[in-house]
Amino acid sequence: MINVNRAVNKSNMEENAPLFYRAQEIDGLGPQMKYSKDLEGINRKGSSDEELVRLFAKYRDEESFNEIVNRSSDKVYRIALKLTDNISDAEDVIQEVFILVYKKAKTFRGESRFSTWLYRLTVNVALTKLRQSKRGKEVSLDGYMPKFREDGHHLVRPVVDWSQEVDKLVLNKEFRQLIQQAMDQLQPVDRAVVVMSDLEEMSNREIGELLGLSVQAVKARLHRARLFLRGRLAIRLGYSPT
Amino acid sequence: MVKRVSTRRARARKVDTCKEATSLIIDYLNDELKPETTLSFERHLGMCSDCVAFLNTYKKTIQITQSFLRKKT
Repeated sequence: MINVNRAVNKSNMEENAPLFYRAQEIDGLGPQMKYSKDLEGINRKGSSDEELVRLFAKYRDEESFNEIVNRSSDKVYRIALKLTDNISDAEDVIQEVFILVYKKAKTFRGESRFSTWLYRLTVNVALTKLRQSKRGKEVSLDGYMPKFREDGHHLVRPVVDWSQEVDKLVLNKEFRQLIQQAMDQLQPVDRAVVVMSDLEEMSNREIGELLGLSVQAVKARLHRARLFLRGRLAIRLGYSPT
Repeated sequence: MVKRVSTRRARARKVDTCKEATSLIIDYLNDELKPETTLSFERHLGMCSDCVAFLNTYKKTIQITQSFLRKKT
């Protein structure tokens, strides 16, 4: 279970200050909670996510907000960690995501499920974080793209099939570091596409919707990223990356 | 989560060269090619050991990436 307050406290917060007050502070104290009879007798734990967001957006209901955080923080953390690959960054992402939920709850119109809306927010915040922390570390993928002769056949021949040979190396620590380094050298969006496709097993359409890309663009990024990773593996084994 | 396969398929294409085959790998692996294009793609593979090697190493790269990412989570 992720300790959301730990993430909050990273930003000079007082000990154990709830995220609600942190968000309220950042939001310039925003509209205060409105007391209403509508809130009486509501069982927040039994309410749907969408109902909680509606209650929070309408009444600034602290209990609804806290219930949203309690329910969703694990999921946000899990996604953030996969995308940033860094615990500290993932904790920052949790904080920023729930502050955004606080600020943008009114813009949630219920056209999609809250979980989808939250996923999209998390992806956007995590990619921004990744761009900040990875600035300058990305490499050009061009040298890893296959090259062809004028007649359309492979330029470097024969293309060596190292798919069996590589199995002997996969448990090797140095080999895992090579893959880690290659993943780190991908552009944040390309890395996200690989994680969503190969780990989350999302369709290209789903990935495109989350990242604001066309299906063709998702495919192109995924293909280039895979060719880059393939090229890095080939070089490690002593073969041409192209 | 079960990987969803798109039902949209590109128009049929003839695969004569390695360049064409390589550009279709992602759709081939997602089963998004027209049956005629799949046939043409596989016919090219039957004649081109370079493209077989390329496809095998491409698929192995996906496996290795998946295994790496799963172990990290």
